[in-house]
Amino acid sequence: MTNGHPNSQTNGSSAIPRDPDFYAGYSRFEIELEFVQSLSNPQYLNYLASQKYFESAEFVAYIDYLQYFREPKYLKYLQYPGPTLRVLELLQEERFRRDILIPAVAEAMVAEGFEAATRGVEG
Amino acid sequence: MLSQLQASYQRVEQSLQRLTDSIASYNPSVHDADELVAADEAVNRDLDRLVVHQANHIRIQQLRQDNEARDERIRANIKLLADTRKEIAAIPSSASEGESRQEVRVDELLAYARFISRTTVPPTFRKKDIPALPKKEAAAAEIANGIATPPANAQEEDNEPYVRIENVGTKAMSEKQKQMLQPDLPWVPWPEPSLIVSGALAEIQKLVESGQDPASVLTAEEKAEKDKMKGEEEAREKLAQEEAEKRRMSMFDTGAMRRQTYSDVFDPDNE
Repeated sequence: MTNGHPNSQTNGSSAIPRDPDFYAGYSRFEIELEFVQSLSNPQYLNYLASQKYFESAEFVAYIDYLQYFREPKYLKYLQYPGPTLRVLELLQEERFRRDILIPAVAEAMVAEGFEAATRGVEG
Repeated sequence: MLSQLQASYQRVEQSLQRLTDSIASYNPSVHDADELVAADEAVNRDLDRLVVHQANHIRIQQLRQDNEARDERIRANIKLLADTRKEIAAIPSSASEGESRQEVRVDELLAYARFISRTTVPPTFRKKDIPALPKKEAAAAEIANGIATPPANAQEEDNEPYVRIENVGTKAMSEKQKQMLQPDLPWVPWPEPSLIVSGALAEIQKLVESGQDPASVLTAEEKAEKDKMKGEEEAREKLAQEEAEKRRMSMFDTGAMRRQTYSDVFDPDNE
């Protein structure tokens, strides 16, 4: 693994231009896919709120950008489609971004999500 | 039918009348007696015909009724059909832009269903084994008042169980406190923390924490190119080295060369 200097080639620039969408061995799509699905975990959202991420307008705009996952051609890559899309919707509201900081709200969301996913399932 | 019967009755009457007349005039006419008998038979025959006539009449009525019943049914069916068709035509098509109405192929759908099934309720799941999670409506109501209230609530709950535990044990823990620990959900419809930690984001985190720049990780292509360049570089260096060696050897006369051929090490004392 190279240390320190990025792109340390001994002979000037390489013939292949650096791919901006490749990061740490993963493509940008893979990383965004992973992130958007992790958002569906309410405890993770609670953690993000506690780290004050939701107070950054840039971050909020990024989450809005992630709405592209609603389109069928990207939707088909989601393994947790229901909770993910629901969370994307909820995160658009400022009230939610503030409330998810409260642990009780996160707990309630866990219970509701579990209930919604298992509704109608017989034991 | 009626007129026929009437005619035959009249015939009977007439012949009877004639017979009685002839008997009254002391001139019994056998002819009239025969006539009467024949008339009587005619009446009997007519009566039989009457029976048949009635039966037919009833049957005709029944058939007419049947007919009408069927007609009614057919009419009702056709009306139902027309109504259903109207209903189907009236179903509003969803307000959609052109591109969201895509035809989804069945095999695509099935493949996606299989894909999702890994992260959907497991078949061994028994819902009644899960204790019912009490809805946190109290918390929600308090949130409406202000953010300060719920944390106060939580603190209260923290204190309570501590007091109880001293005396009794975990079974005395309030239901809510137990829920805070939340170990008992067998499955959740989102990625578990363990899964998140083993993902790409976590790896990037580790790289960043260890001081390496994730942007310096190369793609396979870049790696291949780098290896190739390194190979070329090495080849060039080797070539340069050999040439330098040759030059060095040609600089000295043959006497010293023999010694130097055996030992390549640069010996400043023997220059």
